Amino acid sequence: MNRASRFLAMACVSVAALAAVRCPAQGFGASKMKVTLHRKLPALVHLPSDTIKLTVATADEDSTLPYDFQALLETELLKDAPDLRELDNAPVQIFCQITEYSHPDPVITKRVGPGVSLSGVSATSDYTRITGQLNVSLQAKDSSGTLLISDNISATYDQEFDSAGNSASHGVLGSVTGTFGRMKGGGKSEDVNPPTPSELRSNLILDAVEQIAEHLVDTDEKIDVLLAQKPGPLDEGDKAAQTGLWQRALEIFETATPFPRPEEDAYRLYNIGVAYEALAYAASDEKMTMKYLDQAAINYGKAIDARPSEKYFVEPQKRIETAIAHYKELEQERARAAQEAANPAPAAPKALTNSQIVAMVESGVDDATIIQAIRGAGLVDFDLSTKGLHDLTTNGVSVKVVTAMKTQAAKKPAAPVHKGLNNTQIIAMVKSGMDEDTIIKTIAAAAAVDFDLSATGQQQLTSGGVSAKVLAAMKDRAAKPPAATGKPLAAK
Amino acid sequence: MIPRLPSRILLVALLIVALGARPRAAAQEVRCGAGQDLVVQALERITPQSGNDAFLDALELLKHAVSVCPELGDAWYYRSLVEKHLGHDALAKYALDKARFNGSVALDQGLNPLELSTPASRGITAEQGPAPTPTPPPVRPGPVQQKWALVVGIGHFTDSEIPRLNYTTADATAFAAALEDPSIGQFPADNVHVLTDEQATTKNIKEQLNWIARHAEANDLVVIYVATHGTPRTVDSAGGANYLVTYDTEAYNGAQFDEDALYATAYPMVELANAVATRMKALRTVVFLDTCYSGGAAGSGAPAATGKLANTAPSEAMLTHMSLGTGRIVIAASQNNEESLESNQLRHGYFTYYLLQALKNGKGLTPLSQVYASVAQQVSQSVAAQGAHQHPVMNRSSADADFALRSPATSAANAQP
Repeated sequence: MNRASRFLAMACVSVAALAAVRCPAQGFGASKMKVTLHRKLPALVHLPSDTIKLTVATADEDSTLPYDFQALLETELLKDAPDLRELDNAPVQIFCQITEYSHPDPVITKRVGPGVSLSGVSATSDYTRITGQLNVSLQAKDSSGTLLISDNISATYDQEFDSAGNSASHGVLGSVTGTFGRMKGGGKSEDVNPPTPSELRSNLILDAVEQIAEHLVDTDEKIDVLLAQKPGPLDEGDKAAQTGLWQRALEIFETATPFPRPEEDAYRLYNIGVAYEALAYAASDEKMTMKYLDQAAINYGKAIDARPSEKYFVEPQKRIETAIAHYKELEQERARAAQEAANPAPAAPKALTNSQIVAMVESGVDDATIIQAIRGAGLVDFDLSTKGLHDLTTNGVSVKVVTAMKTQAAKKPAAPVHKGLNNTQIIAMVKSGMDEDTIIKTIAAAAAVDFDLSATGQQQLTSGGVSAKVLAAMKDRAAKPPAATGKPLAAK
Repeated sequence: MIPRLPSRILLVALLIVALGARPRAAAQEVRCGAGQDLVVQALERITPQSGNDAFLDALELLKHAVSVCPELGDAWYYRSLVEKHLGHDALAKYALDKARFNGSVALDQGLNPLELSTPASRGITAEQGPAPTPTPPPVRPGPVQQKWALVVGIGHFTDSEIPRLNYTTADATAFAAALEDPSIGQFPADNVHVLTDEQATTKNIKEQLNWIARHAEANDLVVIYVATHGTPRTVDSAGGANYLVTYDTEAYNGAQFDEDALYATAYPMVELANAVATRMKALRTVVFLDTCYSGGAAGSGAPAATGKLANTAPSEAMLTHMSLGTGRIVIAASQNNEESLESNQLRHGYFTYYLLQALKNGKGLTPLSQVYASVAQQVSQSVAAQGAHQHPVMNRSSADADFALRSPATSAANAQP
């Protein structure tokens, strides 16, 4: 190949590469079609009162961090629950402990870029990687000190930018979204410049408070979503979508003949994902919401597989993953609540009653979980009189659940078995973010303990994050005789 | 009359306007209540004998139902049947996949409103011959093997705004006792399932109908008796009841009549019709319907105020729908523009009182056509004496569809020591 033809070849490659980089994404068009979805997520916990006390603490040297965090969190909570009021002696106490706030200096590296120079030599560029992390331990308790919810929240930023300030983290064009877990609106998708330290701090706080708000209150957020366009079924479906007829739109997208080239069909799959997502937010029950979200995730995933370079496919998939994770967490919280209702604390065992069953039904716990809770209940005190049954029926308790109640009521209560509190449970409490005082109180109140305080056991506790103070409380409790209420197991 | 295309479009447009005007704040169940009613409307339009226009109408309604409530699996399932009937195989498969995805009770139970359970050819032993007869001869069922009954009577409701009925529960209990009475119905007690008040939820009624559909064979006899409110789709309608008001029907939101809640919770009359026409394999099936408001001011013959819940008897079309097939008899307490009345003196509804008398007098051996004639005459006369009108009606699958609750043979057999 002579010099001229090599030059021509290089020029062609450059033009092709530039075209790949600069051309607007095929399928979305220059004038992007946006639709607004209402992204509704139910709270993970039911707060027993509209009056709360919010406390934010940190060990970080940034002394203004808790104030900024608290101000943003209050704003975020009030946005979705305008009836919330803050009061010092409120029946709901919310603690946010900022456990980590890191914002290391940007890291600059030199790398070969995606293009080639006119001389045929691969071009090198400076890439700036910006990272940041904000971790928060969240706890909400009611007036009796009962833990309503406990979770560790993490907001992370990890993004690389080229020398022109374009994000280079995803695909050829790079993600425009960053790695914020929330990924809700379309607004962030145009945010291509690296954040200033102040912007990074604000973004991390905002991300964390949004996550906390989703734990505590029902959220309803408007999000702008892009629809891919193409004359034919896509445009026809888009029209239905714009008028809110999402099922009609979905049917058009799904029943259309797939485009022969996968990278073209990716846009049809993407639109299918959008339609499922819209249906998920409008579904009448959480089970259907999950089914639709799963379908949305599958179709977004297929779209990405078919066209990995399309930057607009990345954000929706992350958004869906967040929503799915939220619903899974909700399910776990409800199962935990049902389990707690069925197995109250050993210090004050209470029988499962009609009102607890009704409360479970009203809070959306499914029949299978309720039946499991009934079967697992050591003690029951059901009112199965005609009036009791009538009240259960009118409160939506199903025949299956009533049958399980009758069966359990007919059984003789099992002899109480006091299982001792053990190392694993203590480590689990620590990892769930429970504060030291609560753990120590739990240890002191335990009817029986079964701690392994051998050298190996203590090493296990320490490496599990158990503090010296908690360890001392464990030793104290282990040295004491069983509580007076703890009867011998074999007593007759 | 089957609406033509323009009226179909108008129908759907009106539905869109009516549903679209609903405030967004309304609960999702409300949307699904409206969607369920669209399914009911679609099912009311089609029978195995319907023409293509009726199926196209039904298809429009079902498409709209899934648009209003995409997770309504039954709507998808029925749509798949209609699409298939119209030859749209790909869309039928698509709709069936959606029914599976969303979950459909109708699909799980294999309901098919397009196939009669007792077509005219049923039970005929095919004769070997060169040329098939153009019309199948009438079915001649063999002696009755087993008897099954579902008896429903509802006098009060979870929704306290729904007016109470004084004697429906007593009517149902007395009717069930007559069925079990060895000198009248001779039904095995285990085969007579009675649902009154709290037991008579929409779900339980469906389950009990399924129980009969699963067990009753061709040579069995099935009796279904229902005494409760019946209500049309719209309060002003005089076209007959579209819904049966069950114990857990919600018809009011506060004092406000709420049609969507009604659609979501009541029992569609067409489901009963389809259960009888397409699921009961028994070649002798009779349905007694005492399904309209029986006034508390009985004796005077004047119906009591019903509030905003309109009450009416089944329409002629619904009775015809229910009597499709072979060996079907439907007897309703009143015409669709009449009230069905109760009597404080008789302590029963007029219809059930005279029905019990007729069965008792005939020892269960009187053919139901004659039972009906006697009941119709006595109800009309007694109610007329109170200055009101009530005329029971009967609909049969064919002019010769007739049978008694007890046959002389079984009577004689049981009389033997």
